[in-house]
Amino acid sequence: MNMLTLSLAYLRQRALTSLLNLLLLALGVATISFLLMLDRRIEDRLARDVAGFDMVVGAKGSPLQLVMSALLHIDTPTGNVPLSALDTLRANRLVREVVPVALGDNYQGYRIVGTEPAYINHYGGKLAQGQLFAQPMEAVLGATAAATAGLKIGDSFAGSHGLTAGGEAHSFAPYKVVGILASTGSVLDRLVLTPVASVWAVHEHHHHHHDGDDHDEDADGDHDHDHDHAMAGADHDRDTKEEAGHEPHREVTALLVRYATPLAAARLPREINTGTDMQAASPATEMLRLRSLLGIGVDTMKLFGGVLVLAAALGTFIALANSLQERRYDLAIMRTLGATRSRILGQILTEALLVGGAGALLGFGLAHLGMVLMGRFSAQARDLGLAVPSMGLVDLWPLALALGTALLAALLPAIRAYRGDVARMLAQR
Amino acid sequence: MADALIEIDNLRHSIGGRDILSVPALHLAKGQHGLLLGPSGSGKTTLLNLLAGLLPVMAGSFKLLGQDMRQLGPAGLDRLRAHHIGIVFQQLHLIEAVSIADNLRLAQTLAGHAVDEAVIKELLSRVGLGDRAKARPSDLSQGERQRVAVARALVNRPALLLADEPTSALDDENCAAALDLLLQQADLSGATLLIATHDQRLTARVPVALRLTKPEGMAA
Repeated sequence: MNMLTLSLAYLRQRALTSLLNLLLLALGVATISFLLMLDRRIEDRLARDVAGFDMVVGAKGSPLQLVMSALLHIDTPTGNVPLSALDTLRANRLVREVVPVALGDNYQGYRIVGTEPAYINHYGGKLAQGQLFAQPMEAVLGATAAATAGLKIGDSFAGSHGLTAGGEAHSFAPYKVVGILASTGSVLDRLVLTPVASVWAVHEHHHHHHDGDDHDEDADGDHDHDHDHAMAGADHDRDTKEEAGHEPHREVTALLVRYATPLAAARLPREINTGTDMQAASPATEMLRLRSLLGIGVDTMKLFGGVLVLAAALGTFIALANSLQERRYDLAIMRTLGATRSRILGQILTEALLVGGAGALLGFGLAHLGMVLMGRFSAQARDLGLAVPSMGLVDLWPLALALGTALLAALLPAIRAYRGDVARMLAQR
Repeated sequence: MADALIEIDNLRHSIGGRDILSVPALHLAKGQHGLLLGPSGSGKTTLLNLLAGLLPVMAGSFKLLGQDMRQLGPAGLDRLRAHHIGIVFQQLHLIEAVSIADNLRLAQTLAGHAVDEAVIKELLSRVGLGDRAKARPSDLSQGERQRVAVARALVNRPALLLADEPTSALDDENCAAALDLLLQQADLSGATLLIATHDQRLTARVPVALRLTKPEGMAA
């Protein structure tokens, strides 16, 4: 009969109160743990996805939207920029690398990104199967996209119009899967990558296809299904000119730029913003802005979690205080049986630690379960890697908080029991 | 006294400036049993608490096993109680959250001894509860609970066994059995048994060591 078994016996004796108290504590820990893990993973993911690129060049509009669409692939693009800008930037001595990104279509909600192999290299993408794309209409799939879509090497698929699932399928221009990437834990996992030329080809074909169809178009020839279509090749006025024998006017959605020198940060964005029809956005600055925008909500939720933990602490305190008030005779008896004051103190604290520890572990488990379930049922959450539980040191502090809370709640009753007059307590019965 | 266990001289105890106990002398040798006989309110329980080290000695001289009780701090009194004293309280004070066998195990553990299942089994058998080791105290009758309290007090084979009205709730048969158990176990372990009681039935079998009266006429 040690402290642990005796504590368990006391907890069993008031099983319902113990259980409710434990659940209260678990709920607080689960809430705060869940929020902290989610916050950390979103931050990690955002940092990983924007890392390495110093500037994003795109059509004028919201710089945050540009960064989110071109780097994080979670917003619609601001428009397109001429392909000539790619050569211009590449010729600039302040620039080390420029990677084009051409958006417009998706496959089952996974964005089809026209780009170059350098984009894959940038995120450390490694082929799990097959090879990199070399020809237009060849596609390399990110790990999540391949797994969810159930595509394998050699399969063909048709992209759908727009950047979200449910658009019109371009069945006239199928892609062929030539490679599948290993998981990187970055945005790459949920993309379908192909040469920029594929995106141009699909949309030129698409417009010829539609021009031949007898479907509703506006009187000025600008048909009404452009949706969130961002691809430059979809500019119908220009298509008409191309058909008349002009050199195709190529466009891309955005250009991802790495500077050759820190000096570039001071000059290039200003030159682009003031001297061209394009805008230059800094991913780092925009992510800071995003965090400050989201921060209020996250902080509010953390505060809510904190209030829950506090309520749980009060509950633990009340439950322990009541329990010890009822058991002051038992504690006095234990003293008469030879228990030292420190043993009594240890007994009470052991009981508090049991409640606190079990509540913390249950809460921690609930938070992880929540992450896994959220990852399983939400595609966006899955993209954040929530489906795969992982634990960092930072995830452990709600456990410490819960244990500390329980100990603190037990301290006052424990001190009362420690200092209590045994003879008087026994006489009061 | 060469084998002295209790040596008390001019012991006084007061609460709020009012004397509630005065013991001119009480001397008991090891193995010698005695009664603290007196009516309710005569200070029997206070004296037991003093003997158990649960109350501080305010005035007078009190040695237990040759140890001056006034020199011992709280930790020393805890140790002394754990190793040398067993107590059967009038209210019994069993731990209700655990089984009766666990009550005995707990007493061994708290005294710093290893749990001795053989001793526990033997004691429960002697008090007629050998087949109810796993029962909770709340499942027992008052008489059975009292027997558990006696068994628990004896489980560490104390040098001094204190019993506060151990037979007051028992019929003659059970009274005799409980007294048999107390005397038998005290004899087996060479313990001194001191019973605070107003139960005159016990005087036939145990000598009166101290006769207490109510405060206005306290006398040894």
